Amino acid sequence: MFGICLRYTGNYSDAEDVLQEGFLKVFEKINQYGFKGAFEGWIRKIMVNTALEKYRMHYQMVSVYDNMAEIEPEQGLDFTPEVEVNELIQIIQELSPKYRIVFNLYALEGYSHKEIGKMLQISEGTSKSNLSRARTILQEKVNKYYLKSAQTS
Amino acid sequence: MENKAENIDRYFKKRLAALEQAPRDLVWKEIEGKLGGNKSKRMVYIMLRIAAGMTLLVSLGLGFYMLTHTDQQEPDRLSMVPGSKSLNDSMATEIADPPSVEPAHATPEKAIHQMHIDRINNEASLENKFETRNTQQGTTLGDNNTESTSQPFSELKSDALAPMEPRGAGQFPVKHPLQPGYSEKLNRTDNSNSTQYDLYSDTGYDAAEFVSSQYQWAVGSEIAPLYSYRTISSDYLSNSYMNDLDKNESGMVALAGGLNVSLSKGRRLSLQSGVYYSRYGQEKNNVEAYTAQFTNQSPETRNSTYLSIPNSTGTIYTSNQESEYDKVFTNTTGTSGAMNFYDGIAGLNASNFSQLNYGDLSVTQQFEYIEVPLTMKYKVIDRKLDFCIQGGVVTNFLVSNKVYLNQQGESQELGKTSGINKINYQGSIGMGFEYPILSNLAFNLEPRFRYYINPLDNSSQINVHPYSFGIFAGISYLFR
Repeated sequence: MFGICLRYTGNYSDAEDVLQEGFLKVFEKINQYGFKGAFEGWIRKIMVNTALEKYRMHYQMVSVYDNMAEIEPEQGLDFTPEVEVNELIQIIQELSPKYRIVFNLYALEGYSHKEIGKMLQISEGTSKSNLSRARTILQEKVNKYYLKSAQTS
Repeated sequence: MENKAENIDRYFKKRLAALEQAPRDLVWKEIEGKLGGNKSKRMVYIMLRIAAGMTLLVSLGLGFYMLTHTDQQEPDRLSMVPGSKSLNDSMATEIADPPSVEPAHATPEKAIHQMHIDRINNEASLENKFETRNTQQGTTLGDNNTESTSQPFSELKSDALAPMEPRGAGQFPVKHPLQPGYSEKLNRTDNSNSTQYDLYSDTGYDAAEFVSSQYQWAVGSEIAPLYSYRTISSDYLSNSYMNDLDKNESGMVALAGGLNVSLSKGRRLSLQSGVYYSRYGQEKNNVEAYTAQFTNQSPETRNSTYLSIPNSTGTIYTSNQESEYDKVFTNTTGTSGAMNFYDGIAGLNASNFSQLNYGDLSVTQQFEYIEVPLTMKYKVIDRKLDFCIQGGVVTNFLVSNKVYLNQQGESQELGKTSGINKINYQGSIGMGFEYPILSNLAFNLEPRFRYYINPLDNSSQINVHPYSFGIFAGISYLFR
């Protein structure tokens, strides 16, 4: 569960907060668990919702766009470089909150843009554009990381 | 391109979807602690509400007690005689107070009075020789010198008293003016007794001062510095969000003051009301400023500036045209976060969003009220320095609300707060000290704690209950 929290938040500390709040909700709402699905899935859903709640309520107006100037447009990922998992987490955490959330929901959780739009109270188009932007940034960062590690080795 | 894009999705999903990492042990300990901690936090809110309710009940209860108790006491006081066991302590103290009694005997009327009493005492000591009877003469005694009398004088039958009877209470009000019920007795027995009342007034006694059962009015004014803040709770929002609000907001010193009028019956109980002005507020720290460009607008209007304000109370908006900020984001539940707002702005080029480095920014949220309190006071210590406890309810009418931005050492009006109640109710408890400056003028010092019974914003998911603590200092004038 902590892995999920790490993906949805901007840093380790926020991830711990989400985990804490999520588990508190699990204990508080345990009587609402209807045994309709896997318990793990139920907890996972609570964790994701907690992360979304934090995103919705917690203002995070950090200017994440400063580093976007470094990004060259449209470099695709034609290979699958071996990047350390921790580095991948870090790359995701460096994303702007709104890109990170949309990417997580779409690519890792499998929600549609329509569902994401409802969850985040944004338009479907915005969800698509955020996802596209997130992908571009992620591709670039993974490539950069790979190139950097290749040069040093 | 689409395939490449999906590649990155798959790449991350493969590596991260099933990722499991263990958090620090500290996290589990904190979860354990918070599971117990929530209960105690809720208990605090519940206790505060109960306290506010109890304050109201105690006030009403004391009021009811005052109304019923004083009515029942009236006949008792009229039939009370010196030396009676039922004489209460405070009255006994007044009667036994030598300095105030002695000078009165110097007047001719008092001398007669004293001779009369001395004679009665002698007669009364022979009470076993007399048969008792009921008499309506009303010639009860009221001097401390008669404390040895073990039986009400009105019940004695003695021919020896006959010479005194024609004069009766009307001519010689033998009941001492210090004794409670004195004036009532005079008024009841004979209308002409007002002459007698004046007679004693001339002796230097202010008879009304001793008539404790009469209504007395007083007016006063007072002012106080207040420390004001709020409690917040929510059934919907996460603890960390609420904790963030607590971290980013702080209380502030405000003020209150006004005029009051009080009505007392008896020495101990009084009801006070009035009209007060008060100013409460909160300070929001960790405020951030941003600028953004709208690509679809003309160069003149292209740049917009924004403020992000952590805020629990209402929704802050800009209303000052001269303010350099076009928009304010507040963390109320009505908005779903500032980032979402950006998404809805047509023509906003997000890449041109950047934080302005203005150093420490803070925002002051200020509410001004006209207050009408209704307070019951009970005097616990009735000496020269009086001490009372008090409780009541205060109705607040919002007359002004403003938000100020403190930027680079200067304060400017930014806007207002919307979504807050116009009328609020507070529970008030406190204590008071009163010290006489002149015979009719007293200095008051009253520390009071006040707590909003209703949340400031009924529509919000955050229950905000402001509270304040202030030491009210003022003067009061007693009409006699």
